[in-house]
Amino acid sequence: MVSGARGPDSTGSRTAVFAGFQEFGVTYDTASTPSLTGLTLELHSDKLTLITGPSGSGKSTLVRVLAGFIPRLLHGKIEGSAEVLGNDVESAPPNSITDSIGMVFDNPFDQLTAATKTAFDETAYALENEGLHPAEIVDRVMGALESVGLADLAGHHPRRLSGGQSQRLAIACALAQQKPILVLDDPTSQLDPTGTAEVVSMVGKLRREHTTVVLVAQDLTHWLAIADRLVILDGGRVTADGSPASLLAEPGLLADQVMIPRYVAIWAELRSRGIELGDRAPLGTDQLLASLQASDGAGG
Amino acid sequence: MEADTTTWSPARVAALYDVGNTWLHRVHPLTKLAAVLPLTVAGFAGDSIRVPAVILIVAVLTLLVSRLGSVVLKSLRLIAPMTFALFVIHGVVRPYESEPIASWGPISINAEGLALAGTTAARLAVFVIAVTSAMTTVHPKVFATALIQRGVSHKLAYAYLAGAELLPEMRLRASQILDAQQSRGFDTKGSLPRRFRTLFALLKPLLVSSLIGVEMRTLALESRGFSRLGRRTSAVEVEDRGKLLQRSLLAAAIPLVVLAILW
Repeated sequence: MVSGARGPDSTGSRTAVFAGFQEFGVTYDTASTPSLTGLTLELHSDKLTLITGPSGSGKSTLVRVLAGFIPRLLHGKIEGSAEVLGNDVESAPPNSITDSIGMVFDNPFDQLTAATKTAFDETAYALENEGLHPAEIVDRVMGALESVGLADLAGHHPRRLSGGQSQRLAIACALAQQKPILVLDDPTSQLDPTGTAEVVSMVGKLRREHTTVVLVAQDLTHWLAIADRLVILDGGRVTADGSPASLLAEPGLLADQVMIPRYVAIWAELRSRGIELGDRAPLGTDQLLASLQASDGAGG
Repeated sequence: MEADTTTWSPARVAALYDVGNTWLHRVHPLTKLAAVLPLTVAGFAGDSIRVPAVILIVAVLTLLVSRLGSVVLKSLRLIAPMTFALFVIHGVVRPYESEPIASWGPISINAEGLALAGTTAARLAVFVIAVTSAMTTVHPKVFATALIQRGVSHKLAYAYLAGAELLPEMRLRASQILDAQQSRGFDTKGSLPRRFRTLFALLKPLLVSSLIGVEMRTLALESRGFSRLGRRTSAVEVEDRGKLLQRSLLAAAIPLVVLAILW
């Protein structure tokens, strides 16, 4: 029903829908309260959808459903319906979703297989499980490592990579599998500034290459500039959905749910003091500076 | 960080590999593994140290001539603690009816005990040197690939490969937790009771973080097709050969078992 359907998303553009949730809810077997409840949302291909919200808002649960882990591996009570790539998540055959969606977790090291001695072997692991010919494995692995800038480190032990390199390796594993959709669960939350910059740059490159990306982030600072759409979750349901610039135009309204980036806060503060900076929130420091220069040039 | 090989464990055996291109490196992994059985059984032939000692001498000389002295050193590191314990238990602690050859107060050394300790240590050394020779000269991934080619479950192969990485990973995790605790002013040095307190303070976060890590790793493995059905391949091409030799080596263990029992 969902896969392949075309329709406008909350930002107004028309692209294929790859996942749809209707009044969807999840309550883990080990929890008494639902992690998601009454969630209604459509996710579109060829977009970078940024999902944010306070801790416990259901962000990670949502991406685990998307990746095909719930309810197959992480059990819980399901309400409503959810389809990912045309598969009902409750009755999807094993691997039908995981085969098409690459997942990158927040911890750069715990998501490694822990059974390989080189970055090359780590990237090859999934392709070996697919039963590909060795020559094709080598081609794909080197191509994926090249595209994340790790080709020179192919022979390094995965544990000896930095956090940023390790996250890029996890992305390379998904790229090597040629999965059309990449889901990243707060991939920079445990990285230092250098590692964060590496991963942000990598995801930006994927976006420019039209890879479909669903990205969960608590801190929006680095992501707004490359996001097509911002979805805010709170209490297990969607509370806001739209283009980042329009949603953050009134950052005070979202302050309880979102970590407002400093450049957006400064922009809002200057506007509140009567400085004309336009109606659209800046999506980076560069845009804030450009707004300030434009305002200055206009005599503001 | 490399795995510590000072004591014996399957995980450490898997971490023994040394890069090289000696004749032993080129032997098929399963041929080396098959050779462990008859060699070990042969070490038990006879009731004295003579047979295992001869095997050991031949093995050590062969390894040295083949420029595989590292295998001998690794084997020594593995066998030394066990040998020491055997000599203490059989030579000094365990009582014998025969006269001791030397006594110091309550401690006495008995020739019968020393002979038994020497024989047992030599037999164990044959096994250790056979396994170490095999595992030092085969990359774990090549070994796992060879096993999968012969129908061993890829899950078992994963367990073997992950075993090699488990200890260094746990050590890294523990060291990160200790660093974090020290940065918050926790004193990890000093008296024995204080060190015990450090150990307990380390265990809980180590266990919790390991459990969280296991869940994430399970999902990550699933994302990479761990439970996928069907044929698997390997980026490492291992020629599937030597079946007859491997079967012969395993078959050779049978008469050797009989010989060991009868002799």
